[in-house]
Amino acid sequence: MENAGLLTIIVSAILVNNFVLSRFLGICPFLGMSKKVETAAGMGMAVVFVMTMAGIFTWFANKYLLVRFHMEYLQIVMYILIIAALVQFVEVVLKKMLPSLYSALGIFLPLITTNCAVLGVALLNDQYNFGLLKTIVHSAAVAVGFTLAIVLFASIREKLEANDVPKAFQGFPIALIIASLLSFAFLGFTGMV
Amino acid sequence: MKDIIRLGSILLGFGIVSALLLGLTYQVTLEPITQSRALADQQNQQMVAPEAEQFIAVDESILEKIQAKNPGIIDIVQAEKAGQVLGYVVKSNTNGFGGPMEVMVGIDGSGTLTGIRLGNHAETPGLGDNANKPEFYDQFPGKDIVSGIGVNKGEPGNNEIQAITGATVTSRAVVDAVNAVKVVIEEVGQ
Amino acid sequence: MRLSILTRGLIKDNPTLVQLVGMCPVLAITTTLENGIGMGLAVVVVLALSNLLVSLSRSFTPERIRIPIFVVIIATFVTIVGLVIEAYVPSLHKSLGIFIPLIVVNCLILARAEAFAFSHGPIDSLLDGIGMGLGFTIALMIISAIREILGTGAIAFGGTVLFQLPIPQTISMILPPGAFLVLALVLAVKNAISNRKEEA
Repeated sequence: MENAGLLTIIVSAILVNNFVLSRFLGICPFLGMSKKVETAAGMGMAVVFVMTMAGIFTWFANKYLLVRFHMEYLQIVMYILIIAALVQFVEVVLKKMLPSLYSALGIFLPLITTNCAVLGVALLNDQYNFGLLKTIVHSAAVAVGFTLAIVLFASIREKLEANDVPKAFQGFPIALIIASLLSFAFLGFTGMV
Repeated sequence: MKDIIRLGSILLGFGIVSALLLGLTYQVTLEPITQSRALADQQNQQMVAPEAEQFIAVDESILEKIQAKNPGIIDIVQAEKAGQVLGYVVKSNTNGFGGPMEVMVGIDGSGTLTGIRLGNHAETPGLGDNANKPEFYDQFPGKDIVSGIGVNKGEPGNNEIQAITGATVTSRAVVDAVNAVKVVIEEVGQ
Repeated sequence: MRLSILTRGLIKDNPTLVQLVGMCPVLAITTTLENGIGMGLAVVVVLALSNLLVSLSRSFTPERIRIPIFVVIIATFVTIVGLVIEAYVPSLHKSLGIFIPLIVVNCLILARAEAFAFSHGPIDSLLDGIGMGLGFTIALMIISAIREILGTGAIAFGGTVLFQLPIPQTISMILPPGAFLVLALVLAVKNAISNRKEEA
């Protein structure tokens, strides 16, 4: 991966190794925030923003603090603090500067702190030994992959509202079956890169 | 504002306590962890070069020369028996599906494999981590890396490895890492 | 009273099958029964002790920043457990090592910290952690056993095959789609059972 081109990284993160559908990271918001397309899209946008920022900040923290002072064992704790601080910061800034965007994204922001996909992407960037540019591209692409999955999922679930589902399958079971079918579809991308 | 500073400093306090505890644990466990990793390495070396009786590190200068060609290589030792060089054991780092993956490769002087094993890795349990099972790694001994090993999802051919079902990425990563050991033969082989 | 804190996580309030939290590992590592049990037991230990720690540090945890603090406690604790196991019980590390980093991002642990440990005493929190951890283990065992049997036609443990069924191997059950599908079916069966109970 360290030598892979940018396009390969993008395609791989969005389609082939989709975080939700093939790596199972960020399942909680994926299942919880996908009842309506609008909410799903809002969550997706918030994730794109936070994940890209988190990718950049954790990259600097890793290179200039952890690696330089040989404190790699603090990585997870440090990344989590960065993500938590970042989310709080974004919340405050949005509230002041862009109230309209805040009212659209605001409720999703606290949920992102606990979204394991954000920590996952930060750790993966380091494991793949990406430079700054690739880190940014990869983080953003993973987030776009998340958004794609959750919006597709939500649009199918919305349609399902009107359908007559067997009682035992109502709610999560039928949603998981849809997720399974989506995952099958994404399996088709395996081997593309 | 005052509130933010107060909350921030409490969080910072937790962070500092956490860092101190982790630092302490790290210091205390460093020695035993290094030992247990070295022991695991030794066991793997014996597995991939079963005939050898002792393993001797190669010259630093040779290692550096080879690392210049393949930066993934971490370590090379000479596998010896009764003073005779049987071959080499090469430890290299590669990227699997779940992140970095250590591959230990044993070869004789002409580039025929004597064995391979996986070291630390983060492959998916039940899929990619099947690469550390005999069904997969027992396919390698006798194969020739100078001409290059291939991966096959169906029936493997002559110099080919049968990919692990559902873990083609891992299989290919292992085979690529094994093939990349060829630089060692080019540098030191007979 | 105390006993019910321990037992209610097993079935009645099972974290995976009833509360639907901590789904990431449920889907990701249930490829074989052996992995399911390994991950489950690792979570029991971590969840019990992290609940205890969260409960003990309640008095210095301001409400507004409790989530980041929980996450720091959990991450610190999990990292320490990981290092100690690797240093002193390398054989256990070999089989459980891959699960340890995954536990940090397990929302189940955070969910219990938030929903229980933050508002209860240390002993109750410890019991809650053990009960919920065991409930999680039960769910993982059910799902992983189904996936392994459908996927490979057999159950293997520690490299030895326990039994082999004469059924075709459906690899896709071990692949990601199978995880979603099996979980869906297990939840549907659970719903059917509880629906019947309600009607009766």
